[in-house]
Amino acid sequence: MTVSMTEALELPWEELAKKALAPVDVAILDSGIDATHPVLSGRIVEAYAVETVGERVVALPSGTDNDHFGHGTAVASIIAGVAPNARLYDVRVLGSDNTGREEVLNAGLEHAVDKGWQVLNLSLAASYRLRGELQALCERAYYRGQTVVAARRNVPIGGEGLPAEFSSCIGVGLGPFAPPFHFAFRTGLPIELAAGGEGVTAAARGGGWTTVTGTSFATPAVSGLCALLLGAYPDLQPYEIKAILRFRAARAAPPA
Amino acid sequence: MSENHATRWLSAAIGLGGAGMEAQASRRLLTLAVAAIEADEGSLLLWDEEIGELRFVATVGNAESEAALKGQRVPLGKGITGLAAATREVQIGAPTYKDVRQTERLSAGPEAVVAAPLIAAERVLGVMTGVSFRAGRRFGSKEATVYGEHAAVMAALLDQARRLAALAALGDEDGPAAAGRVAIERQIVERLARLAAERGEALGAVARLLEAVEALIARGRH
Repeated sequence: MTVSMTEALELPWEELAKKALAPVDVAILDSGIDATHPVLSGRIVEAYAVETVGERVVALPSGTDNDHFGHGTAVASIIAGVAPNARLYDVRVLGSDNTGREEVLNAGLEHAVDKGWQVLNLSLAASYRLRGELQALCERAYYRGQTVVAARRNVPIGGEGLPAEFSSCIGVGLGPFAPPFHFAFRTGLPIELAAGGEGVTAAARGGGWTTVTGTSFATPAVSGLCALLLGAYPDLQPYEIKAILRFRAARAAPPA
Repeated sequence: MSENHATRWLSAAIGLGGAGMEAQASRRLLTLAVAAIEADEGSLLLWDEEIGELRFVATVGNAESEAALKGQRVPLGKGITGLAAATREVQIGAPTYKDVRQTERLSAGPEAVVAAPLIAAERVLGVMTGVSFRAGRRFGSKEATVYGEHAAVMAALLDQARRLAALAALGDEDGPAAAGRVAIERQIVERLARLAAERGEALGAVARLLEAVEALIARGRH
């Protein structure tokens, strides 16, 4: 075991966050991000809106106020708060259209994988209809060394949620833990992590703050931790990050 | 009768406070869901494919709210209700504040909102919302789960009713086979209605059972 791996396993999160960290590119596939919010000022590097144009679904460059619902803005603020080294990439895959959602999500994920961003945050659960395509994309990301962090369904009727179920991803459910540094690793379950996402203070679209709850908001805290790890140890591969999270979860008694 | 016409028929039946089994059962189920999370009001919105928007069809807990909301449209891109439909996930809403300590409120409206999508066969049929106006009230993951489970049963109930309406129209043309199927579907709807009225605590288990049956049938097909 190398010195850096020992440190990656054991250095307290708070100290890790204070190290000189390399920038880490984090993509947020969500409802878009309000980049005008003060807490996100200067943190969003690029913004895209994935839309259907004719018969194609494409990622088009978008503006600073790219959020339709406020969901993505809240998610982005959590990642930004946990990982000061995270450079955020906004990929809007949730629009006001109720059709073609799966195709839009797939195209957005493909865009993020092709761009090579290191951490991909998906605070959403996709339809099982396009399971095959989604699995292939997540595997491609895994083999390229990209870490995909995805949310479990809030009410897991009909499945835990995709892509969180895939072994190529880090699945995140809810647990009674204080975010972001305390979480549990659930050995043997497809959704490996349980993290805190209850009553989290997050940025609201249009400025201001709100309280958010759900797996959607436990997931970005884990993405932020992945960004911290990659900032300190840029060579880590997704399987190593998962192993480190497991080790750290087991070592720390996570207070509620 | 097309599927969308069936949805419109259902929407009208519930919205008019019809005496039919579906209308009564859906209102009872909504009332149970609202009580289960100790909300003040709850609404049922159905997806209208022709206009591409959600539409309020029923509200329980406050007659004035129902009169004001009924028939109103909600675009998919609007608020917590639209978000629940777009993400197909239960969503929880809280007010927006100017400051991170949340002392100076910016947004108007209720103190707490929960919105659960109604999904059947990967299709969003509508959204069920619950709201509280009590100062400082917040919904958490417990309320989200309970409301989401009620929404799963509501989706099954409405999907069956919608199919039943479509089949009833076909039944006149297709003879005894279709009529037999209609009878079976009606039995299912009636049983769900009874459960909603008498055994609210069992709804989560029913939702899981329906999912398991669906998965079993799908596996059998392959």
